[in-house]
Amino acid sequence: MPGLRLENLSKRFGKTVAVDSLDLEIRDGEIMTLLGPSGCGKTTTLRCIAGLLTPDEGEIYLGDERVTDLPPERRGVGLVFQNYALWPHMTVYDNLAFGLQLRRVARAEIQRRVSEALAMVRLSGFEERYPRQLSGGQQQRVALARALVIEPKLLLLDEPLSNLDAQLREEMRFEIRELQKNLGITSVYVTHDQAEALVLSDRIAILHEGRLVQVGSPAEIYNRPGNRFVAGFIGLTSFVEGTIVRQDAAKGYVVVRTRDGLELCARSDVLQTGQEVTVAIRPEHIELYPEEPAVRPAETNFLSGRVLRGAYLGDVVDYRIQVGEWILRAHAGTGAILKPDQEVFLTIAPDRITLIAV
Amino acid sequence: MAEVTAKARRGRGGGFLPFLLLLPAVGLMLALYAYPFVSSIYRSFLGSKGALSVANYAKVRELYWRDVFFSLEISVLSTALAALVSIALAAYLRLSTGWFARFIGAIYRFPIFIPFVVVAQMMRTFLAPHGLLNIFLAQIGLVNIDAPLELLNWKGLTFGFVWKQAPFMALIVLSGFEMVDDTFIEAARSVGARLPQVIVRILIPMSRASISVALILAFTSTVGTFTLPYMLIGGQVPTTVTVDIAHRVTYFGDYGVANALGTLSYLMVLALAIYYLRYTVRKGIYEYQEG
Repeated sequence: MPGLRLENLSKRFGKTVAVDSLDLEIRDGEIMTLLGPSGCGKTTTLRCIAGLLTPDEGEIYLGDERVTDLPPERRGVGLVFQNYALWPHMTVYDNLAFGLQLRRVARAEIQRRVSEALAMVRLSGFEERYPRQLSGGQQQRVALARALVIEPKLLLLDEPLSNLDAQLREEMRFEIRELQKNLGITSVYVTHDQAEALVLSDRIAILHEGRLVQVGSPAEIYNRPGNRFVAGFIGLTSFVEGTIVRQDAAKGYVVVRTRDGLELCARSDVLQTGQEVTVAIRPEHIELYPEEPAVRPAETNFLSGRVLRGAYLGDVVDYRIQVGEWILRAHAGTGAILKPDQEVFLTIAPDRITLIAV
Repeated sequence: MAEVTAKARRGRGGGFLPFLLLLPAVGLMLALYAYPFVSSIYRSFLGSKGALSVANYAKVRELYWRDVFFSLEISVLSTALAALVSIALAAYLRLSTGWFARFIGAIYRFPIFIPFVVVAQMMRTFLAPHGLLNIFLAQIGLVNIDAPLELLNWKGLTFGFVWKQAPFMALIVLSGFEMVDDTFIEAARSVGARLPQVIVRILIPMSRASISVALILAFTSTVGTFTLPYMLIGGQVPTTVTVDIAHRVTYFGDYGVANALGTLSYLMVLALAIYYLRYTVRKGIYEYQEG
């Protein structure tokens, strides 16, 4: 399967810049998720790749072939929509066979490929049903089979799970991932759901206001966000502003002091003393102690604070804790629930703190 | 027990009230539509002495049989051509976004608001032996002006009907096309469909209800139009049933034959009306089941 390359892609709607000079490469057989909030340009990018929109600038290459000006029907791209877009006047069989009939595939071959595609999405025996006779999950699987049966060079999925209920959505994430890996088809997946992106993707491209802000594996994006937007968009994050006041080059640590005198030690090999930084801390990386520990853990940040409030989330309690002038969110087990105004002690491993240069 | 009876009485009164409220509308419908309709059919079976007879139909068979088929043929041909034009126009307006499409979208409705009598006058000027069309064709060398195209016949009549009905049909068809979500079209294009295939395989089947309504309304209107055939082909043989009806009433005061001709017109549209009613009823039940 060929990869996909976007070079300096831009798309404007009037004065609004929907996609701004986007450079992105999607490797052969990889599933790349375009992730971002509404209006970040992810769907516009996908529509440009599909040929449903013409970019104002830039080029699109599918493998070595330049497809920027090709109409959608000549790109060999399979497309799955949020609303499934199954043609209601056709049976499941006809929905799948349509693309093959357009390619003048022999009838026996069409039957074989439709059967195979339906088996692949576990819907054998549903050939004669109409879309209205299927559940949402089944319709989405038919839509996936319809996109795959034409053996596209590239699979594009535009928020395909958004209309499904939470449980089905979670099941389908794994199904899509497994199917994509089995077929080895290069895929672009658009979503605003970070959990979906983390589960499904080989790599994630984060878009914000039409620009690409970070590309990386789910773990890289989660653990090493490149800027404050990414840190805030993926997962829960607390932010603290400060300046690097000391560094230990041998150990690769720096110390950040906030304007209210709070000091935090973090790992960084690149940032220098005097650099203003944003400190990003995930709630699950904070350990909470209701009482001051007799022995403070070595080589870790030790802070004290006051519980503002806690929200019970089932498996954890999400606390907001006032530390100096900063509010940190921390997740703790549900064993002993802390009360508002209670004094609490926190430890944060330096390795778990992300520093973002301002 | 007494309370239950009182409630039941109130219930019966409440049940009757809607019918009372509907009575004026139903009364008007019966007086203005049903009575003349039934009466004209009944009178078509009355002979000169007031007895039941098929004499009027025998006269229609003898004098106007060719016109009955001519009316049917013209109506079917005009409606079919108008349907093709309207579907092409609606598809263009649905799938195009350029300035020309917007311009066409703004002006295509104008013929709907022009009365048939004005259309007829325009067509006479346009299609006459020395009318605008023949003069234009002569100027570009396609026609000898001394032997112009004869268009004040079934051809001109068909042209007039199509010119008048196609925009009206396009309005209905386009509303159907507009209801087809873009993603259905995009999905078709992504699996390889070119625009003609999108129109034929996706847009038209998904807008079958709108197209059916447009066909039925245009056909019914065409069958019943008097002014356009009267002013374009008048008393030529063959002519339309509506011209014959006017002729029988105006020159002979013969309402019996006129009613028989009218009844045959009803029959022409009856088949379509039955289809339309069955289709809408079935659609209603289907939608109910879906809900």
